[in-house]
Amino acid sequence: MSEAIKHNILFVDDDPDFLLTLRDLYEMMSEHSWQIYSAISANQALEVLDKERIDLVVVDVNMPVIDGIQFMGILQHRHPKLKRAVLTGLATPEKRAASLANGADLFIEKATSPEGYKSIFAMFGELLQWQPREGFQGVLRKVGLQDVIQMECLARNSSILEIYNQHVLGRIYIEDGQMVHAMGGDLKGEHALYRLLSLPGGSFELAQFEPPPEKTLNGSWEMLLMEAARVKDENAANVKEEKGADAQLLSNSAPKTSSRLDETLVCTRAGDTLFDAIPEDVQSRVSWLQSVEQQSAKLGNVLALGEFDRLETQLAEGRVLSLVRGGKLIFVRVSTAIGSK
Amino acid sequence: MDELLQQWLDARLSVPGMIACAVAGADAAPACRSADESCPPDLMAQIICTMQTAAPVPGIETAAVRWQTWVFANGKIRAATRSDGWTFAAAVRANSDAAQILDPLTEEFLALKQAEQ
Repeated sequence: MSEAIKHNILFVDDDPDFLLTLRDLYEMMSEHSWQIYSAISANQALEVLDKERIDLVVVDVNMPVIDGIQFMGILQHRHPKLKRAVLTGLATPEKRAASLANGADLFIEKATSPEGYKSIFAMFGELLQWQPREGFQGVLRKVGLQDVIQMECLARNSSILEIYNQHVLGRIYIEDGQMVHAMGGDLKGEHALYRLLSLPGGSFELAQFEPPPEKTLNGSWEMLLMEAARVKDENAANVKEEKGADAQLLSNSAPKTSSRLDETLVCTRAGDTLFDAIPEDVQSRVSWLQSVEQQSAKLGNVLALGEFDRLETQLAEGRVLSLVRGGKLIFVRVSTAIGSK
Repeated sequence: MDELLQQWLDARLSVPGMIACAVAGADAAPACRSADESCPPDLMAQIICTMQTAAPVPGIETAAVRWQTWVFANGKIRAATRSDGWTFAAAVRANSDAAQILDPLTEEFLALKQAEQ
């Protein structure tokens, strides 16, 4: 094997002549920096994958026994980090959708000219260079804030944790596996971090990293998390509930309130649910949020009150917040009970 | 519209930051007051009508709702409906005196009718 070889690519197609042509063509075009492997069936391809370090698999759709779309699903399960492309002679919208749904990174129609194969070569080259976006994708359920921070730091990721509850909108910035900035309410730095990590309830979301406005956290993430746990324990001994910004205005003689987060829902404007902790009927909440956003646009326009922030529904014992944040719709319901001090 | 509600509404209009306010019964035409030309009485009438016919919050009994506040960058719209069907709505500037006293003002409205009864 030449030292110049950088990428191993496996083509899977039931046409051996096509495989030979592709191998000769792409090894020549890459000046032998691509090592081309071939397989005429899914089974043979899996054998190659078990033996060789493959960077990219390119699969035909129409193959006997296991077709390319099914094979994409198998690859997604067995080799989730592998880059995958579909190359087919019969491209249809249905096949494209099915391929992408089964984990294909690229869906390409076979070329009918040398120029076309040059374009495909360039696309495979791009795919080989492409680095997937780091971070979570999907729905987080019953995962603690500290767990997510720990995972992000251990993986040396860069991301932003956005945290919501009835009193606080906070952010924790993680850059290359270190917590570098935290903000929540009027607080910044360690005070904000400890407060956010002490919240008794709320929702959070992992957002794509952007540079923080400033850096307010120093020290290792392990120490910061340990200190946060200590502060939380200390506070728990004296205070049984989170005191929000409003509560700070109360006098010492005022009765304390305790809060409980009953419902949380985050969805897109199109109504796709991203996170929910709702006991029942998620769809009615989604529809409600969409109607709130529409209504707010009308009200904001006629009165020129600027950008809509939230709708607060004050209940006899609690509050419902309907928010629009960063293109997402958020529904939070909190119960409060007043007790004597 | 009873006189007490009219007088109460007139007195609240002078609070700095108040854009407009209104009260309306379930079957009565709204009484609207405006302190700012950006929201004339007929517009406030539309707004209070919108508040009266707004969809209920899912999972919440209507009777459990004390009031609703639409919060914008530059102001708020508050609406409160009593069990007798009377609704109060106010549009206020952000960070104004009127914004600061929205809660007690609404409590006043909610208590006003109870005192009458």
